Amino acid sequence: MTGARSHLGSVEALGRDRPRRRSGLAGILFRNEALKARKRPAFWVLTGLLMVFVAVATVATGRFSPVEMGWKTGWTMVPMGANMGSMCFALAVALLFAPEFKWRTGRQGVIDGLAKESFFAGKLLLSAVLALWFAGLAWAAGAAGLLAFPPTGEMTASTVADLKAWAGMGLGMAVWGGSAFCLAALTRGGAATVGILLGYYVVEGIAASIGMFWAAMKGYDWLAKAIGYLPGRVAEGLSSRELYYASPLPADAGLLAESPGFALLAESRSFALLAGAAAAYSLAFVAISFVNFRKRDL
Amino acid sequence: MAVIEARGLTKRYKEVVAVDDASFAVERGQVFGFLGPNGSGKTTTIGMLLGIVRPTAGSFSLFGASTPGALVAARARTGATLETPNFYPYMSGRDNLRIAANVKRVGRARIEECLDIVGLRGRAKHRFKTYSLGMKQRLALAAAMLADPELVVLDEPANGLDPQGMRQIRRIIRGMAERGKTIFLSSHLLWEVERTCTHVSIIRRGRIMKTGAVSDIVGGDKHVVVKADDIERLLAVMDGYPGASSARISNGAVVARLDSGDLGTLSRYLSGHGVHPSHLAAESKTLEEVFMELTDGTPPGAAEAS
Repeated sequence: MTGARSHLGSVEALGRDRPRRRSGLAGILFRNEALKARKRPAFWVLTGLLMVFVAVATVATGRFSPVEMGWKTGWTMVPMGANMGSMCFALAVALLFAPEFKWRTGRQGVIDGLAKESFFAGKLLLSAVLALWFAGLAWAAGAAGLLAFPPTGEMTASTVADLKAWAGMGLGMAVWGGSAFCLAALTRGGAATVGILLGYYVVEGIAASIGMFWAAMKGYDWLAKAIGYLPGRVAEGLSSRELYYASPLPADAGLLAESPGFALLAESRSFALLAGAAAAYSLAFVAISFVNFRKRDL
Repeated sequence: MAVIEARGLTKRYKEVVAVDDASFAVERGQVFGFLGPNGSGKTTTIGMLLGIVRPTAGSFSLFGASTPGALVAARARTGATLETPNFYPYMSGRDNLRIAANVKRVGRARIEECLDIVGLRGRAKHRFKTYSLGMKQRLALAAAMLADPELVVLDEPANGLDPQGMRQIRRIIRGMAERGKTIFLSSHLLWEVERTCTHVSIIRRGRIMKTGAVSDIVGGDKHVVVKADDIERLLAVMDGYPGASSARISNGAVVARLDSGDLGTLSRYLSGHGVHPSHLAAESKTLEEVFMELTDGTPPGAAEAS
């Protein structure tokens, strides 16, 4: 530390008029959230993991598939990195939102001049940008994998099914991200958010399998349909390749059709219904977070 | 118009009343000390004033603003820290100030100025989590000064600082006060408040016990300290003196509150009653003595008994 005299001199200099930066609130929120994210090592770890996973998965699926895949089939594998992208997205939301409470930086943001609602809006903005980031990465890594190890045949143009697949991927991510966002706001802890989130989806997966089996045995159509609309099932359904494309492996399709509960589940796998459910879940998660955030002290 | 005005502010957490009907006003240019033992409700009160804790009852205004929208604008004229310095541990000191500077809409040059003022420019690129407590406190002070605010609210700014660090913080606060800034300073360091503040409010178990100018609070009660060979006889005579009250023996002397008259009158009274004092002096109370009386002897740094 330099001498106290120089400090006092500097304090006296504070009275000078200084130009203030003109910037809209959205710009301020974006700049701050972007700075917090790109300085966070965990964000880059998740980014790296996703890129490696999607590239390897796309190449491996194409290279080691029992049937020969052309460009058309290979290209449809790219959006399927969505599952991993959704998980990375949810983890990033949890790790960039929940600690704001533990470190009390969210509170400091409000003290510094943000309205509570603006702070919340900043986190929503961050989540939207993260969704684009991880979706874009999943696409880029998958495409890079395909280009590095190209399938046989001629490259084909994107189809309506491809666009639907990407829209479904986005909605699946919204369910994952929305649940992470909600848990972060409720628990106010990064570890608790990640633990509950992953725990829930694991438990839901097991419970859904048992429930589907039981529904098939008893002939409870309503139960099978209801299970298909649990949050994890909706997200999984939207990232399921079979929802958008015919299977390149007829034998797989046959096996799936014979599995208990598949026929019942398949009935509920309409894109429109799953998309509607995903949107409803996402909005509900954000609404719960907002009400809780407004009600509680920072 | 008062810069801060609290009217019956109350905060309850289920059965616990953290702040109970607190009312006070801070005028422009005052250096206002907010004193109380740990757990007495200082931080909760400041939290309500800064809009991060919702009052259960009562109201307050900041620069005359009391509606939520107007309070956001009023907070923009305020630089404040609450409890421990609140920053992102994985980011550098400079980047942490950038976050605050963006919200306050000030440029990068100002960040460097403030880092200079608190003497942290050399460590600005290092991560916040590597800072000592003193450096964290100084960074919090830099963040509070960023927008050259009209009101500075500091919660225990000298916590964990060594004597040199305290001196530096005190100089910075005085520098701001000399420039006419209004400063609201929460502390349990009594001598620090007595040296730095013009006004003080003492809070205990959520209730404001006393508010006023420091000079009035410490100078309001004059005490007289008298020594004589026969201390019991001296106490009996002092008990009969009409200009004094609450006479008691303390450390081999009789201490009494001087309600009226001066030392000459008292000296003549004692001599007239056959007591010849070996020591006779008037003493003002220190802020610490006033504080200890009002808080039933709870030391300022200790936690309040519930």
